[in-house]
This record gives sequence, C-alpha cells and structure tokens, in this order.
Amino acid sequence: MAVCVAVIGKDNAPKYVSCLNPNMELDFHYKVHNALDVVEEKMSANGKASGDIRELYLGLLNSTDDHKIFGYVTNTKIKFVIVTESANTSLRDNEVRMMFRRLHSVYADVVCNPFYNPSEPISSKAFNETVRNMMAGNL
Amino acid sequence: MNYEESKAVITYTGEGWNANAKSLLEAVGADSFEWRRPLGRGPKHVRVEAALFAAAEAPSNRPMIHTFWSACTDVDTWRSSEKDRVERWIRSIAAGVEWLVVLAAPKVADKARTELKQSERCISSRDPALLRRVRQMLLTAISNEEQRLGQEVRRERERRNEQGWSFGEYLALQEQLAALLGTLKGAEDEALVQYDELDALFTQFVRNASLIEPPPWLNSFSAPLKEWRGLGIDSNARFAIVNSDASLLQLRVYLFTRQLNLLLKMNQPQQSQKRISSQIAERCLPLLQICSNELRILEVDFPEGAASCWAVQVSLQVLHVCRKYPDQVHSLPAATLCDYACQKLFQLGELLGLMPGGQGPSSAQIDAALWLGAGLGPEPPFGGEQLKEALGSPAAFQKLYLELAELALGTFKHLGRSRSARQLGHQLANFHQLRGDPHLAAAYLSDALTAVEGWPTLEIHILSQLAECLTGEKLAMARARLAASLTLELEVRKQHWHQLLQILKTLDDDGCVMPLEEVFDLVSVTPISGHRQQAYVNINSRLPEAVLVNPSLSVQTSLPQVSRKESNPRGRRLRGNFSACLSSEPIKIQPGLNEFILNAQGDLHTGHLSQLSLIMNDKMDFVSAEARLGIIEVKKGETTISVESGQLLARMPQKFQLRFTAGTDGIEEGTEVTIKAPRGLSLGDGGRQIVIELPKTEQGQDTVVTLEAIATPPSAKSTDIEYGLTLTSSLWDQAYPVSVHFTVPVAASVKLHTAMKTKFLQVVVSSTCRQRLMLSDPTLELSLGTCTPLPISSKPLTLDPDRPLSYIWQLEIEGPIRAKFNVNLTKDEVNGAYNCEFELAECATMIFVNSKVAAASGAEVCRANAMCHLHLTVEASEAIGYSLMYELLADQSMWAVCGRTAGVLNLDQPSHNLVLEVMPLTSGFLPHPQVRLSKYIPANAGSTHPKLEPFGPGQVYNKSKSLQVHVLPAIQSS
Repeated sequence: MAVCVAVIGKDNAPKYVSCLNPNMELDFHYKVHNALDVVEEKMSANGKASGDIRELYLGLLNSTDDHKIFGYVTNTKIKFVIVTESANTSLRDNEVRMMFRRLHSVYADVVCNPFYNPSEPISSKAFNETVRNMMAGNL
Repeated sequence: MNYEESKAVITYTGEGWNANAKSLLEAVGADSFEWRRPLGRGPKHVRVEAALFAAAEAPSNRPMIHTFWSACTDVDTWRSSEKDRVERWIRSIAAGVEWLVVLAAPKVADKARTELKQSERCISSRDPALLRRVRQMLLTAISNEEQRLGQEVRRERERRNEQGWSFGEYLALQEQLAALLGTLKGAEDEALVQYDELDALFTQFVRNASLIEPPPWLNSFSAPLKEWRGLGIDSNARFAIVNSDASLLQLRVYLFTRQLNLLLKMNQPQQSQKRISSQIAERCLPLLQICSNELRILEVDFPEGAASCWAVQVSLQVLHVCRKYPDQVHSLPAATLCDYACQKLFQLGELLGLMPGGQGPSSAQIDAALWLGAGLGPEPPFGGEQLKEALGSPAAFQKLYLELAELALGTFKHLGRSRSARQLGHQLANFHQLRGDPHLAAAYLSDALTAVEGWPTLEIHILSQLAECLTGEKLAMARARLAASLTLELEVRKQHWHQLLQILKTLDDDGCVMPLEEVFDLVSVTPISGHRQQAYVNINSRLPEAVLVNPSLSVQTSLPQVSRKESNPRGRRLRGNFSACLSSEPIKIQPGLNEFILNAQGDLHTGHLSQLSLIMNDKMDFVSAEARLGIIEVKKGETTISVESGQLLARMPQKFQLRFTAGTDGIEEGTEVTIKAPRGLSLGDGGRQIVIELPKTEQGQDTVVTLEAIATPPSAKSTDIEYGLTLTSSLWDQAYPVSVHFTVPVAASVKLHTAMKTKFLQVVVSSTCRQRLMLSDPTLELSLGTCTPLPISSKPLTLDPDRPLSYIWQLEIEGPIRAKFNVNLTKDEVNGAYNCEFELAECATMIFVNSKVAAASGAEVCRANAMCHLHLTVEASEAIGYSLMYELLADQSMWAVCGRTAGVLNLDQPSHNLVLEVMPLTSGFLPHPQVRLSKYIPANAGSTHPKLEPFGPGQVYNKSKSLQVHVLPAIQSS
C-alpha cells in the first residue's frame, strides 16, 4: 500500500508529509517535491481542456525503480501525493483513486474544524489515523 | 527470421518469361493501395513487395501466387497445343492458392478467357490492369496467411496456462505473424502490436510469478546473468529464447530491439517523426524500470553493478538513436531517460571508484570494471561505446556523466520542469564538490535551495550541504540560518552556532548584512509617542543560545518606498538610513520571546519606524525588511486640564475637581491660575472669580484642585446647564476654557382644584436628577389674597426619583394673581433652595350646572331604547351681563340626542331649567351626557357672526360631574 502520503498547499509548501519508514523521510520529501513539476504540468493541461467536470485524480506522476508516485488535486488547489512501492504489482489504479478520495474526505473534515487555521500544517489525530491505516493497507 | 525471408513469393513458369516480365513484376511494390480487412478492422493503405522465384525453386510455407507466362501469339497455336499446356499447369496448382496466366497477345488472352472460363485469371501482358491484378492476388494470399497465423496465435495463447506450453515457441509463432505483417509497407504498426502483445504477456507472467507458482519455462529466466548486452539483434539470442534458454535481459533486449526497429521503420513520413522518436525514449524508461523490478521478482543473480551497467548502455543507445532527430533530443522522455541514466551512472561510479576526488579505483574495482565491460558484449550495434570507455577510465567516466547530466538539466529547464532540473543540479553539485570545485557546487546548491522554498526539511538538507561549499560572509549567513532552524536537533544547531562565532572572528570589519527574519521573528513594534520617543520591540529568537546585540530602529522622516519589491528575498538585504533612529545599550537576547525598549537618541521628528537592526559581535547585522512598523510622533506638550465630577446639582453648593496634567515643561511652584465663572455660577465664597496656586508638578504628573460652586440657573426650563470656566495663567498663551455641567434637581408644577366656591392649589414636585433629596419648609407666597396650607407633617419629606411629592394650599383670592413656591433641598447634608413662580388667571366660580337624567312619561326607571328626559339647571352665582350657549356632548355609542342639542340662555334670571330629550342606547351604568357652557357674544357691528368664548378653569362648577345613570335593558316586545 502507500509508503508515503503528503498534502501540499496552494503555495506548493507541504502541509503534511508522513512516511512509513521514518529513515526514508528525506528521500520521500525530495520525491514528493519533485513530483510537483508534473502536478503543475497536468493542472495546466487540465485547465486548458474544456469541460467543467474536472477530474481531480491526476494519475501516475513519476515512477522510479522502487516507487510510483500518484497525484490528486482538489478544486482549491490542495495537492495530495501518494507514493507506493513499484514492487507492489497487485495495486490497482482504482485502489489508488479510493485512497485519494478517502484522503480528500478526511482533509475536508480537518478544514471544517473551526479551530484549524488553513495556513498551518495539519496535526489532526483523525487525519493521522486514516493515513496510518492507508499505509498499513487497511483502506 | 528476417523480413526478406517472409516476403510474399511470385513463381513463374512458361516460355513467355523474360527480362521485361521480370522488370514488370518488380514494380509491384512501387505503389500502395487499399487493403480491406475482415473482422471490422479499418482499411489501410499498404505496399506489397514480393520475391520472384522460378516455379521449381520457390520456397514453401510463404504466401505465394503462381504465374504462367505464355509466348503464344496466334489463336491457332493456342487452340492446338498451348491451351492443353495451360490446363495441365492449372491442374497442378494446389487448391486455395492464387494463380494467373499471362498471355503475350490480347486476342489470345480474349480466347483464353472464354475457353478456360477464368476471365479474372487470364490477362494479356500488355494489359495495364496486370499489375493491379497481381497486387490484389498477393494481398489475398497474404490476408489468407495472416488469418491462418492469427488463429493459430490465438489458439496457442489460450493454452498458455497448460502444461508443456513454452513462451519461446509461442514467441516464434507470433513473430511469424509479425514478420508477415512487416512485409506490408504501411502496416508496421500491426507488426508492432504483435511485439507489444508478447511484451505484455511476458510482463504478466513475471508479475504473477510473485503471487503463484511460476510455470517451468519461466525458470530459465531466473538463471544468473552472464552478459548484459545492450540493444541489437543477436541470432543466438533468438535461438536461446525459442529454446527457453535465454536470460531475462536477452529476452527484453530482443523484444525491445524489434519494437525499436519497427518504430524506426514507421518513421518514414516526415510528419510523424516527432511522435515516433519521442515514443522510443518514452518506451525505454518503463522497460528499464520493469527489468529492474523483474530481476528482483525472479531473484536473478548478477554481479553488482551489472543491472546498472545494462540500463546505462540501453539508455545511451536509445539516446543515440534519438539524436538523429535533433529537435527530439530535447524532448521530455529523452530528458527523463537521460536523468535516469545519470543516476545509474552515479551508482556505477561510486561502485567502481570512478568518482572524482577519490584515490582512483582499487585493483578489485578495476577487475570489477573489466568484468562489467566484458558483459556488454563485443561491439554495441547502436553506438554507445562510451560506456565501455567510461568504465575503464575515471576521466572518461566523468566526462560521460557531465555530458548526460547537463543534457538532462538543460532539457528540464527548457521544458519548465524547474524542480527536476534543480534536483539534478543538486546531484551535480555533489559531483562538483567531489571534484574540488566548491564554487560551482555552491552555485548549483543555491539554485536548488530556491526550488525547495517552503519545504523546511529539504531547505535544511541543502543548506547544510551548501555550508560545506561556502566561505566568508556567505558561510556565516548559512550557519546562522542553520543555527536558527527549528527542525534541526538542538545539539546540531549549537554546533552551527559555535561555528558561526568562529567565522565571525575571521570576517573583516565590513561584516555582513542578513535578513532579520531568517533568525528572528519580529513579533511587534509598538511606538510610544510623546515628549520622550520610545518603542517597545517584541522579537522571538530562534537561536540556540543567548546573544548580545546592539539594537537600533530606524526612523524615516520622509515616506519610505514601501512598495519597492525585493527581487530576491533570500538575497542580500540593504541596511537603510539609520541616521535617525531609536536605540539602546547592548541587550542580551535569549532564545524565545524577548521584549526591550528603544529610546530616541537626540532630537527626532515625527516619522515612520522603518527597519530594525540587531548587530552581533560588531560583524553580523540582522536587518528587517523596510516597512512601516508604526508612526512615532513628537509632541511639545502643554499642561492640560480635565474636569472630574459626579453629577453636579444646581441651586446647591457642589464640589468638583480640576486635574492639571503637567506638560513638557512641568509646573513651577506657586504658579497662579485665575478662574473666571460666567453669570449664574458663583465660585467659592460667592464671587465669580478666584485665584488658586499650584504646587510644583513634574512633566506628566497630575495636580488636583477641588472647587466649590453654586449654580443658579435663570429659568427652570432646561434641566441641564453648561457653564464655561475660563482659566488664565502663565502656563498657557491664551485662556484655557473648561466646561462644567449642572443639573437642576427638581421641577414643580401646579394644579387648581375647585369645590363649589372654594379653591385649592396643588404643587407637585418631582425629581429630575435621578437622586434622592430631602424637601422641607415649603412656602407659597401670593401677590394678593391669602393661603392656608392643608395640614400635613412639617417634617422634611423624601423625594425619590420616581415618586413626586405634592403640597396643597386652600386659597382665598380674588382675580388673577402670581404665586411663588419655595422649598428647601437637602442632599448629603448640603442645603439648597428651590423656588419657582407661576400665574393664576381669574378663577372665582360664576356658574353652577346641574343635570339629571330621568325616565320620560312617568316611567319609574330608564330603559335602553326608551326616551328619557335630561333635566338641566343652570344657576349664576351673581348676575352676569351676557348670554350663555349650552351644548350637549353625548357619547354617540351610548346616547342618542333626540331633540335640541344646543341653545342659548339669557341669564337675566338667576336660574334656568331646561328639559332635553335623550335616549340611552345600551343598558348599564352610563355616564351623564356632558354639557358644555360658553359665553355667547351675539353678532353686532363688530362682527357679522356670533362668537363663543370658553370660560376659564374653575369658573363653571359642574355639580353632577361624573354622575352615572342606571339604565335597565329594553323590554322585549312579545
């Protein structure tokens, strides 16, 4: 399942990054940061395409020998990035979409909290819990 | 199998075959035409090339058509011998194979068509349709073969999970189909599909191998790698694949080379060049990643570095191919591939000791490099010799690495992939640093640092590397930022801090200027204006240890250019103009929140607080961005006065305070202040002017003076009166005005009451000041006549704000008079007096009115809806010289007046009796109808109309006022 989950704000600064393996954190930060190039590219491509129903799921952004990086962007330009292991060949595209949808809904809950300031990093227990479940594979 | 071997075949027989015929048939492939295909697939334009063979030499197992070339030119010969030969030839041809008879002369051809009953298959060699006919037949032959092979492929694929099925054999079969399609110029994509299918099928098998027991044929791919050749067709490899004896890389390379060749063939039309060449690079990266994964899944053994070596080799070859299309070297897929090759090369370099700055490769590393180079095979067919060379020498390796990295970097930048470019730059920086070029490394790292703005983890990581490459003030700034990075461990930050202190010692006297917010958060700046200008500064220090700084805060008297944008917020910050500033002694700033006060030095003008500067060790200047932090004002202060009092009541001695707040110069001992009061206000002992002396008062301190005053407002009309005091003194250039408010405490009103001829006066006193007062000794003075107070307690009475008090006097008066009411007020043991005057008009009783309602016509009681009589008696107390007008005013919902409602009485006799008719409309106790009397002045010379004049209050006494009549309900008529 996911080995890293990140939420990136409108200004492209991270609001939340969590990794399964804390030793790899720096590496994943670089990977997620790098994938923003593709997110931007896809967003501007989506923007040009006509049709008002926007697909939020951006699909595969990047892949390396070890990891696959998927992206999702909300209407408010909040980006979600999920990194999975390339070795995990049984993971379907639909499952990745499900994870993103799940993440989006928990994120919406976080934002609805009147005590949460949207410019701050996310530090919600419920959000953490969901992300931990995703990384444990209990979608 | 190559495509030459799978070309369609045309066989020829007969004497008519000659060089002309040969050249004719060779033109078959010169033109394309439409190929309609079954199974709903769209038509395609293809060209067919065929190989010519004499009938006896023709290879079998190939799509084929047979031709017979007759030399016979006249009809007789045809009939006698040639026809038999042709018929024999036709019979020798197997069923389902296409054939064609070509005749030398058109008339013989006509004859043959009718006699052989094969109009389509007999044609004159001079017929222009000949070529078309041949092409069509070839295509039919190929289509038939394609369908046959296609079915076979599908059948085999269905069997893929059965025992004994082998991928190698299946590959050989599907390759036949691919080769057949490859003979059709314009159908290469169809051939490519076959290889893509093979590719996908194999990928799926390997993928499943991690989940289920793999089939036996897959085991051969798990064999340890002995060589890792790049792209290129190797007949041995194909043989090995078909016989399930190939390595994983051999198979992958074989499939990809085939795909690559087909893509290159498709690349003929100019317009699709772009698409296809970028497809080549695009296909390559997934291949490399899939292979890397598959090697892991199948647990293939190989010498360390072999997989990287292979990946670099393939990438180099593909990039070499892409280079043929100059604009495509800079496509995104090519750049991504280049980037990937860079990573792998970097790993190889580290493995083999080829990186710069080291000792050079050890002997074991040289051995390993030789071994890896040998595994690449003899000579790579697509170029890419550089790798072998690079493995042999560090210089060549570094050259190759830089070449690739710079190509990828340039392309990323060109395509707007700034983050990818900067990340690659980050790696290049590491490389340059190893090479001993910290300046170049620093340039790349600084660039990379801008890309990760907002990512604290990455910023710190890059910054720590950057610090290794810098010297002097830049290093000091980097160390300061690191020491202030809260994401780092405290111990690490302290290390950076101590290094910073060391560096500062080495800096020259110019020192360095650094943006304040990199290290401190400016929480707030609060200017305090006044005579002494000060500002509270509140900052948060992120440094790990306390630091002694010289603070100063610049004041801009002219408007600062706030809108000026800093082009590079991370860059050098300029120290603005600090000629006018607030500052203080050096202060110690502790980690965390700090508050300190800065004072003005020398004379200042009003201005904006602009920049905060904290200078540390005389070398490092932390300067905040120029902004408007607040306005500081200079005031030349005068002594000010404020009035302090509660509610002040008029007509009573009251005390209030004047608070003197000393201005900038303070107040001298014994300063005299003259206070003048306006008319109606007496100060102190009763005069309208007093002089007070003030004690010595420091600047900003207060002196309070208490004054006593009595306000005597001229009229009682307004309850709130403002008095303006005027103060004159040496403290002020002009008179200082102060206003004091007084409230009139009570208000009185009068009411006249009459009983026959006796008159009473009621004085109602109410509070207007919302305070409780004591009232005592009420007196009433009349201008004429006498008055007697009705006996009430002589004790003082309490007047509450919501409860008015009344005093009553019986009057013995004649004619209009004036009355003056006096009462003493006491509030909190302070005594005052209230008085007011009012006038009373003529009020002696002159006329008495009496009315009575009685049942009419002898009935005993009044009933509703029955006529009643109103008996009205009017008496004058003495003779009056005018007539009276009476009017009956009855409430129309209760009374109906039936006869007269008004009339004039001439009061020449003392009493008048009248009877008027009224009818009660409802039953119950009804109030009497009212009778209004007025003076009647008949019309005379003065006016054309008679005039009515009302009587004054108390002149008419109504004896039956507020009487009621008992009216019974109407009798129901039965």
